[in-house]
Amino acid sequence: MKASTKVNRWLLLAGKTDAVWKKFGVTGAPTLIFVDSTGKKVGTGGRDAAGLIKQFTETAEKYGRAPKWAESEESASGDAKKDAKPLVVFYRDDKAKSESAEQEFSDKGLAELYDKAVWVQKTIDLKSDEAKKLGITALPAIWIIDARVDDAKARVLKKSAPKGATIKSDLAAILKTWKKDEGSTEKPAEEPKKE
Amino acid sequence: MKKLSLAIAALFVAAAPAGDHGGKIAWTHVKNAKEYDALIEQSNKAGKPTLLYFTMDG
Repeated sequence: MKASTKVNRWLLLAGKTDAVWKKFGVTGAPTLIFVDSTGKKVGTGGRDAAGLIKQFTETAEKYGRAPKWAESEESASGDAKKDAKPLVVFYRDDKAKSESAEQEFSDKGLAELYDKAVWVQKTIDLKSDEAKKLGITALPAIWIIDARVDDAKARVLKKSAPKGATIKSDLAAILKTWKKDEGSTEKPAEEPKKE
Repeated sequence: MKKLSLAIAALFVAAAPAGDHGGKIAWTHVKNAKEYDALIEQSNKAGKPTLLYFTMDG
């Protein structure tokens, strides 16, 4: 996933936004400034392309409110087992609905649970055998899994809806009964409520 | 000045999201300071940082 989708890009033209220029003490152009989500300056754009690209990625990671997405489903599953945490799998494609659902993971309320679970995005083709095997017929789909459980059905604790508040409440409910030292005995997954 | 402009162009090509081509990344042109404040409020809700590009010509 490109960092550019996680960082806004705003152009501030001299003569129209002079108050903002003054606020940041900008006296010459072009000037690049990175700000966090509250508008606080967190960096100045460098003077070389490679440096700028690196800054772009680092700013997205450091100041963007999002779960720390695992590199792959395999590594996420391994981490979830090792740390005895629920695994949140975000099945997606590259369409607008999935892009929009990704934003839901930046929900302020959900942020307090980022460290309580392992998070991974999995791009999947609905026509693939894998999707058919999993029974995924629409994207995006968000599953909360107990990676310690081998049984394909029993390991799925909840199929959540792509809304930040819903993911939060579903995950919080699972964490309430979560047992660190064994596979969860939660009841089988329920389908998300249709909105 | 020219060097920075080239660097910016390279950045936009490298970091362009799907659908953007040739470094022509869509920028949000901030109309005035009031709109800037409103955009910051939105970015705070979305938890997104921002790259501000101060320029003499858009």
